[in-house]
Amino acid sequence: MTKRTQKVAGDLKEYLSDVNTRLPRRLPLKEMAILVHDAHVRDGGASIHPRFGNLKRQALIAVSLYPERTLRINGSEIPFELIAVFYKQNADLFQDPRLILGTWYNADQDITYLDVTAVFPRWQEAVSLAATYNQIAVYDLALETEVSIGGTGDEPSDMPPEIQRLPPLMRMQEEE
Amino acid sequence: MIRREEVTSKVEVLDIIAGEPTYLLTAQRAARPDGKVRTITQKVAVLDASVLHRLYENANKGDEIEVTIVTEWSKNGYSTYLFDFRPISAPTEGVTSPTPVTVGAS
Repeated sequence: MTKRTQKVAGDLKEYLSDVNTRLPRRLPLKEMAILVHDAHVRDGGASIHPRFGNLKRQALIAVSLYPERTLRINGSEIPFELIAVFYKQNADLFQDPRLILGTWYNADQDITYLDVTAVFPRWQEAVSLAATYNQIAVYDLALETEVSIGGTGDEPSDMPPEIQRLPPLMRMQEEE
Repeated sequence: MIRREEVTSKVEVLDIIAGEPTYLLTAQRAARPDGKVRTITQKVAVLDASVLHRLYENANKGDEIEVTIVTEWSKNGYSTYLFDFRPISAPTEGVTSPTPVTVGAS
């Protein structure tokens, strides 16, 4: 099947589980910034995919593998231009379809965080990867719940460079 | 420059990672207005030699400290670094509080 005849995946899960699909076009920067901004204002946090848009409540597990890309700003609102700059500066990572732009508002301290987050449809893949990198927790987007996996958060001594932290992209047929 | 952001908050020290530059790795439990909670980790460069020296002297794994992180934004990008910090307490409870699960569970 040629790329031209492949169906465009409706969501990330379909793309990752069906080799006969292809990614939709990348969202324009302005649209991406609006999606992030609006979801963050509405929900106090956003999980926005550069191609599939808002992943809120989707059956995906989020793992934060790039703490060096995390940023914090004061207040509950993120100016459009800062979202755009953040997105452009991290464009190297956003080439991988498993990486999304995440935001979170900390109401106690009135701080907003921006980060680059990996998402996986399969629980085991997410947790195994998080355990490999000694992560404290993963986040279930569907349940909107953090689940501790028992790591301490310390960086392993053999932590690979950012661009090598994700395993090779293996697209496969969905399990029965 | 579009803007200089100076953010001060309490964090737990996870590690100090020596290198060029040295990084401070921190964690912070962050609750949204709707009560949902997530642990945020951040690895921030320590560029100032005196801040780095004080960090080695006064901050250990598990300590709670107050950090001031600066992000300098321009139209073309940003840079972020630890501007200052102050110790708050000796090690207490970690940021991890949810019930652990077994790796590989589904």
